[in-house]
Amino acid sequence: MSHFLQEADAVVVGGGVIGASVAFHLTCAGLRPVLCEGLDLASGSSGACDGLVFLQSKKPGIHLHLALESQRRLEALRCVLPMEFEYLRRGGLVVIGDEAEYAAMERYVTAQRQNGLDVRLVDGCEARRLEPALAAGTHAAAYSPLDAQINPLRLTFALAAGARRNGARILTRTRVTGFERRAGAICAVATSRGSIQTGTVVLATGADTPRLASLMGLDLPIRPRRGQLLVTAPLAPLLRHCLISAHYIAVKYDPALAARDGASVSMEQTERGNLLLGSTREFAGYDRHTTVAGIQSIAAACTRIVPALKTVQVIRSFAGLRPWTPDGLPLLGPVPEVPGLLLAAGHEGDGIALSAITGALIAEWITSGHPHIDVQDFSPARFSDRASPKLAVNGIAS
Amino acid sequence: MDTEHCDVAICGAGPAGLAAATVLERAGLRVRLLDENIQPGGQLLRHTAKRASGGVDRARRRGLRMLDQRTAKERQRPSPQRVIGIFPDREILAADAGEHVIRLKPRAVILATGARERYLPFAGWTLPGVMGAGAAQILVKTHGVLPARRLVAAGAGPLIYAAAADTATAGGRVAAVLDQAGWQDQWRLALALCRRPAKMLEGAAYIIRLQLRGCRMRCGWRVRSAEGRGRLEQVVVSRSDAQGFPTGAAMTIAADGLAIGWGLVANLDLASQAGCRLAHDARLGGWVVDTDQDLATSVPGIYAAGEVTGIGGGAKALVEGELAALGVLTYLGGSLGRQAEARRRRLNRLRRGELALGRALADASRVPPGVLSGIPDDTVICRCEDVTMGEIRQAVFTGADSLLSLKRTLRLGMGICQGRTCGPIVADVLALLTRGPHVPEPPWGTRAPIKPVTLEALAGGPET
Ligand SMILES: Cc1cc2nc3c(=O)[nH]c(=O)nc-3n(C[C@H](O)[C@H](O)[C@H](O)COP(=O)(O)OP(=O)(O)OC[C@H]3O[C@@H](n4cnc5c(N)ncnc54)[C@H](O)[C@@H]3O)c2cc1C
Ligand SMILES: Cc1cc2nc3c(=O)[nH]c(=O)nc-3n(C[C@H](O)[C@H](O)[C@H](O)COP(=O)(O)OP(=O)(O)OC[C@H]3O[C@@H](n4cnc5c(N)ncnc54)[C@H](O)[C@@H]3O)c2cc1C
Repeated sequence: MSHFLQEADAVVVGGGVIGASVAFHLTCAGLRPVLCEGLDLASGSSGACDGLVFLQSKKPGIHLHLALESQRRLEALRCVLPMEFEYLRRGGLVVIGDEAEYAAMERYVTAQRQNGLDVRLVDGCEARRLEPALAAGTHAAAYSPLDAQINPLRLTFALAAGARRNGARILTRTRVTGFERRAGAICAVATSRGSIQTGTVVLATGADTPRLASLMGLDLPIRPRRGQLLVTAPLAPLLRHCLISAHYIAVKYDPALAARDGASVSMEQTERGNLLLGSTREFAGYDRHTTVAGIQSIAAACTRIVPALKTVQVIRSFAGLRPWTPDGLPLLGPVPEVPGLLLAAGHEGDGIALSAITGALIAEWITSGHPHIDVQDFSPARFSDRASPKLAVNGIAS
Repeated sequence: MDTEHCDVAICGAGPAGLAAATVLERAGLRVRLLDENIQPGGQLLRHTAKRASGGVDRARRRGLRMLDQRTAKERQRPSPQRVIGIFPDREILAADAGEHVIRLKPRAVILATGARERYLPFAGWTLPGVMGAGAAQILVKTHGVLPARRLVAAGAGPLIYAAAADTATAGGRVAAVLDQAGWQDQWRLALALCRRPAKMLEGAAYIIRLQLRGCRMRCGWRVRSAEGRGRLEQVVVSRSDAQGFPTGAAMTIAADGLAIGWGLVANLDLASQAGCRLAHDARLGGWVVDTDQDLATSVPGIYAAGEVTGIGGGAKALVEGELAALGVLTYLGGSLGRQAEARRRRLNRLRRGELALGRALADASRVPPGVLSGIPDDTVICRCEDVTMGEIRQAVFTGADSLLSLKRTLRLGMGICQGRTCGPIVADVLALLTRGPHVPEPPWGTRAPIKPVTLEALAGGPET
């Protein structure tokens, strides 16, 4: 494999939307990174998800701030990347089921407005005027004209194509198997096709990140959280907006509401007319099967919110693994314990929306040492600071 | 959604499924035999317009006897049931014609989902009037409808002769039968059939019937394109070499029907969804379910029988159905008596013979590379998502060098049929374009629901 032996400015591990974005932004900063993907591009969560760029579902504060900036960047990327990725700013509705949800959403929307998000609460009547497909009894909704959708597969391919065009090497079916370190710092990456000398490694391996990090003795709190989705046959335009249920937000941020009945639902109609209906949130290890219970709960919840869906044909289902973290925020930036190692992982259900800003921030870290936004809240160190050292270092890995 | 418990769920009521059900019911087990067709019997025992005795084919005669014994019970079945998904722990979802979905929790499963036709695209293959040889046969035999007034049958292997002969017998005119396989292949097949006088007779009968009706039969010929305005009007054909590359000058044959047959491929939807390990055997139709001697798959409690374990025909399916049933009986804790053990040994012997026959038939319907490499760029390959050969070549050229990456790049197989038609084609084309490993990649797995079903049905029926 001597022909493979090479050096790289940086090695990005993982060919999902995050890895592709990091590679692309590194090339924009003048570097020539190598991206190693164990299978094919978008084989992980980025190829098994919705494509919502839903601002309303982001926590007010730095999370929302990042999402807003990411969206601006995604819009700009449409003119830069060599491939189209079906970005559509349809606007989004958060469908509210009852009074209790309304009360919670009121607080939430107020905070979002203070963060500069264009969002408002509308009553059932207006919700149905905006989205006629909603059920007659719809209680209320929150509406933002900014929410958008994307084809996540195409976004990943577009970013990778852009990176390749700018001089990155994209190696598929190249699994990273270990890391070589000198005096603690990374000096090479071992892959299934040979090793690559480099001083900088970005782990963008989604839900698989803990496995790779453990090779360096790190114990990361990222866990796979399964999401199942249904796909319908292509339909004439049925939904004008992207929809999620208020329960979706509740499940993400409010454990008290999450315990109540009801499923967290998202719905979008793709450019080809297929509806994507999702999704469950389950801890089931690395199992990517769909289940009868999961399929049934999605079908039941979606037909309740949009009754016209009852007679619509489902043509397949699939499941992906969201990279979940305990506080709902990703791990971005350098790992103090391992010089040369950066993380870009743990985006849970927001990786598509946050892809552009993530790539930009990581590139800034690598080239200038500090990003233009203060991202303390995302620092991987936040877990090693804790009483129980989650990010414990135990010796040198292979 | 109603949940039903049973001992064994058998998916597919063709010869294999029927044979298994007969054994298991005799042993007193609660069996659910699920088939999406209105009539049980699968491909071999398709109800003919005027019901035949089975003719010289022993397997068909035995199968029909089994069907006769069942009919009283079968008539109580509510309606056909298509299996739309198989989930961890052998959980099965099935939908009936009224879109009522039930959930089954069997202790064991037998997958007997048979085979489907292998399609190979060429210029004009999507014109109305072009059809699979099996489909042509079904039109004649099941529906009593002529597939065309003037038919050309082409491709390779026995199925095209059967389709042509059935059409001729029903009063249709068959202009020509063009077999890609050359004379050497035909001789080899004839030799293999020497030990199967019945099969030999069946083949000879087809050929004589066709000859008597003035049909031209050619070996070492293939179709280059189908032409016509809005529907098939003529077929452009030429001689071809052993690799399938056209050699002689092109000539045209007027026809309003073209039946194409390139053998069969196993129906792996449920097996791959259940996570059963697959194996590749070019001489048994390509990718098939991997099984042990008892026909157990790699997933505990799931067995496979019939064409899914390798294309071999009706007699193999009957033998395997019985074998799989014996395997299930042992799996569920029963011990087989001495007699059953002896039967099992005998069945295993018979099975080896049937596999040998299957391999000989597969050789005769082999797809040579020249048939794939000449597909023009503007030919549609995936009909659901409208993907052309040119787009596939382009994508492979720019780095999509695996089946899954082609799927993600081009949406191949993301349509309603989930790649059932184009999957095997794309696998072969990809292997050719990348000059990659000799064994093509395993097909894309299909996802539940295997066939479309409404959201209301999946939600558990109308709200009460
Ligand atoms: C059902 C569902 C719905 C979702 N909906 C949305 C949504 O609407 N909007 C949104 O913004 N987000 C959504 N998400 C979340 C989003 O999909 C993820 O956050 C995002 O895809 C994560 O991207 P990633 O690149 O970090 O990970 P992945 O896409 O999982 O990529 C990781 C890659 O690393 C590779 N890899 C792993 N180990 C190795 C190794 N050793 N060597 C080399 N490569 C390796 C894997 O093969 C994989 O390709 C959803 C997720 C799910 C499951
Ligand atoms: C089009 C065609 C024509 C053929 N003609 C002949 C012929 O003339 N003579 C001959 O000897 N052999 C013929 N064969 C070969 C035939 O496959 C075997 O002879 C024999 O029928 C195989 O038996 P089996 O039980 O394995 O499969 P099959 O007979 O194919 O039975 C499989 C059954 O499974 C059912 N099934 C599949 N998937 C599902 C699902 N998801 N849910 C519910 N049910 C399902 C199907 O409806 C079918 O009834 C033909 C094959 C095909 C495909």
